[in-house]
Amino acid sequence: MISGPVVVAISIAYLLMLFAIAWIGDRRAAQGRSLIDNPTTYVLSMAVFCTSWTFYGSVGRAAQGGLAFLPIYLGPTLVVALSSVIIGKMVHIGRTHRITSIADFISARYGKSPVLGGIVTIIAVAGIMPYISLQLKAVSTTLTAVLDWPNVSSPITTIPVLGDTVLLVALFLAAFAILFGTRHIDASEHHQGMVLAIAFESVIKLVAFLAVGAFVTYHLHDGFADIFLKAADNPDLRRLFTLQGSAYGDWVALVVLSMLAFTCLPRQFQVTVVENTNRHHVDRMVWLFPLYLLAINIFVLPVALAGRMAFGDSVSPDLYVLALPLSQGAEALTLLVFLGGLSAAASMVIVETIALSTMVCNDLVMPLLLRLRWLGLSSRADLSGLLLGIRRVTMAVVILLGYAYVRLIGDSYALATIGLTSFAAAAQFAPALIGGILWKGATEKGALAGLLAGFAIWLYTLLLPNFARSGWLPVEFAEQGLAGIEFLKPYALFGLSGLEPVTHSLVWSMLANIGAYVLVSLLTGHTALERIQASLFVDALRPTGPAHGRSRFWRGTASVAELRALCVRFVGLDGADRAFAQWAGQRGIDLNNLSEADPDLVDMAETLLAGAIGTASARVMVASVSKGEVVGLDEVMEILDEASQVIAYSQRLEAATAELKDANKRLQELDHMKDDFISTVTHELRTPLTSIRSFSEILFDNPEMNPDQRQEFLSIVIKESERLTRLINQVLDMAKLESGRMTWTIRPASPRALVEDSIAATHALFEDKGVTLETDLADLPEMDTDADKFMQVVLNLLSNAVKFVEPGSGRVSLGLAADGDGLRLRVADNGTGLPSDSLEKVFDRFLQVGDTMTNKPKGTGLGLAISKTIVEHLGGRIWAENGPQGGAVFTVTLPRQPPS
Amino acid sequence: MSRRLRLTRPSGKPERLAAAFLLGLALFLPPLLNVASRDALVGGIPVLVLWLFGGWLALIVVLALVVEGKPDDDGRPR
Repeated sequence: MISGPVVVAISIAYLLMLFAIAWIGDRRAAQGRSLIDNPTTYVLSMAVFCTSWTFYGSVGRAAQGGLAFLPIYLGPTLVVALSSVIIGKMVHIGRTHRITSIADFISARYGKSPVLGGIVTIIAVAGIMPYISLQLKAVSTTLTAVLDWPNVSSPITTIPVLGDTVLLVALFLAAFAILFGTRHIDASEHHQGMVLAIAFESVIKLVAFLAVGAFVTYHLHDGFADIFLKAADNPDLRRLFTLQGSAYGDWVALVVLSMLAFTCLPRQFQVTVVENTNRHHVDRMVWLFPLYLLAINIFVLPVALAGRMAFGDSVSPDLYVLALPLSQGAEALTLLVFLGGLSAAASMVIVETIALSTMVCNDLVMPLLLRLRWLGLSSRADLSGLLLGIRRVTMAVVILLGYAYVRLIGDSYALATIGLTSFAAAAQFAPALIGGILWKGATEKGALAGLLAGFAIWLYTLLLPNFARSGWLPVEFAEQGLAGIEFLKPYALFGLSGLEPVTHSLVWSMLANIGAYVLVSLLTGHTALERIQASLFVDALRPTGPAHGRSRFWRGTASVAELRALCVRFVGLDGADRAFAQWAGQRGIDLNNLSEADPDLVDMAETLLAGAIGTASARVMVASVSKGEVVGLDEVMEILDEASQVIAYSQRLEAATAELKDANKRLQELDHMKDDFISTVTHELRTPLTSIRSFSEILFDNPEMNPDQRQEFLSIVIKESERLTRLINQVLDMAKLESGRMTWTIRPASPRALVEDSIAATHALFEDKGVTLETDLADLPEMDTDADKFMQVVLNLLSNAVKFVEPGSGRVSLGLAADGDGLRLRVADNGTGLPSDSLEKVFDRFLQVGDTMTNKPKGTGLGLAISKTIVEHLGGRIWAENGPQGGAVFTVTLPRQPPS
Repeated sequence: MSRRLRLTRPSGKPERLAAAFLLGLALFLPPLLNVASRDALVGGIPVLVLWLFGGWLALIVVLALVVEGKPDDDGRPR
């Protein structure tokens, strides 16, 4: 017989030790020497999955249904194997977006929807808060069992409230949650002390269970085989070694249910996602967490069998774990087991309370307060105290409500079944959560429809009939269906019978939930923000995903002062200053010089606020001080849609390829022209050289030639030499112009005088070919130009025109007119004109219009190219066109002054 | 100096973990479960208990080998 004061004292000492551990954890965190930043602590903290329902309840289930307790732990083993697609991704997203709870996560995914966050919170409170009562009830029942052994049946309601140790435990847990769960205003920051305490508790409950398991198996019996062989003699127990016919459906359903619950339970989300300090810790979880589950379950069946053999029906199977050592008088072991059960209950209560209070505060109360009392709130300088206050009050209320439940409905059917009922409630989050990180097309309306449909079915097929069985609703409702309609029987909806209530509810609620989620998502569209968030979440792990996985789509601006004031109000002066300074430091910006916040700063502020008040409220707050909106849907599509990105890239690539092709073609043409030019130039050089040489030879060989003929030959030699010189000069000019070594002498000159000089210089040419030159020269004021170069252009155009008209009947007209400040020079001929595709190419170097193979080229191909270079240097333009009556027209425009 | 080029394996950790998940499904769910659920004891232990806990442990070993394997075994950057 263990005395009451000793148990109470030990319990309180144990709880005080938790405070000390958490205090050390927070202290070390403040010193920067984190005790939880390692994968093992992370995995141990996840073992909050194993509540007192596991610690005592598994043996209870095993005593009734054999291995039917096991699917609850096989499910998590399977789901962690998918960590790279589900949990690992959730952890990554949670860290990037400073997610504070599962409600925040779902709300953020679907366009920061406050409605979704609220719905998820309500479902969590309705479905999971009673689970906290179950934990307190377990403490109460086991405490009674220890104290009153061997009478284990006194109900809790007979104990006076003031002397109730459970109330004391509840108060301790509330104090713990308030002390270590609200240390930071930023709920996305880690509660290191709390996590360390939870990890410690996970060790205690595992050690305690292994101790009692080993005690039963090896002390009371002679090993596993001994227990099983003894049990095999009893057909009632031997039945537990196998699964019975109809149990398979329930088995599969429980595996699925526990997979979903492990992913979606708020307390699991808290330790797995929110408290994660390093995303690589998830790797260790993949095998270490299943190993923990295996270890804590290995003795369950032997203990259950031993309990049934020892007590039969005289002791509740849920108490075998405690009753076996008690009945043997092993007091120390009994206390250890009691502490193990206490730690299992305490860790669940603490984490669930913190998770629920964050959700209630950020996703239910704050959005309502910000709407309802917006004016009142805006006048307060610092809201961080209010935020923490709301969370603390919520924590106290959650735990005390849990205690009240135990007092009021402690022995009800509804509370006894709340374990799986709450799993089924959490599973309703799974479609929106898992679908949301895998399927971009899922919409807010789809998630809302799925959650509401699943929740409604869960209520109707599980919670309400449980109430009915507890006597709070007419029991006919559960047994005969709503209004006596058999078709609507809650445990056999639409005639689906023969399943356990949980399996039945899971089938229908998932059908309704997933069905509504998918159907409505397919039929509705995204807003711009939803689209952005969907891509950020689904593509979170993609290396080429959106930069840093954070939304940078604010188009609007806000003043830095307003933004900072907003942050100060919610996260306090220190927090806001630190975040702003860090932001500015990373970018090398002096905040004092910055008045308008750029989108990056707005985004930083929104994420900072999201950590404190949740994503949805943060968005509303930032929008209230920020002008402008997120970018439009079209731009979002453009930015985010990988498909369109790829298309854009390939289009750019195609354009670049086409450009390259063009350039290559052009290069080939130029190369070809150069070859042509060299052969032309050589030809042109050789022609005068040949005639000079042959006439010189004739003169040399015939000293007695008649003087007239000699004169004629000599004039040919001189003419050909001149032609040779001209040609060489042109080539040299071109080379100089091209290399920029040409010297320019810009002086004032009269354009008309220069044109007249050019006409005089080409007079002989026109006379020789019998070509008429008509002139129409305006008297223009002097302008700054290089006289020689200008004349060269006019000469080139005139001699070019002469070449392409018929000798005798050819006519060339030259016009000079004002063109704004500058001049316009027009040279037209009545020749054959230019092929239309040569109008631009005619100015290319080396190009000679006409087929060089058949027609003898008439020029060097350099005159027009040189003219174009000169005109452009002087700031003008030159172009060719075909005149209305045929013939080519060359036009030059020049400004009054060349560009400097 | 010549170095033999080796193609990295086309499947990295995520794929191997998914394969382990499928193995787990096969182990823990019917119809293989029906096969194991028989009224017999092997070495004093019920067949179903051996099957489930043995399979569970084997799966954990596989998972551990996959995630704790050498990083260069990993076919793709993570």
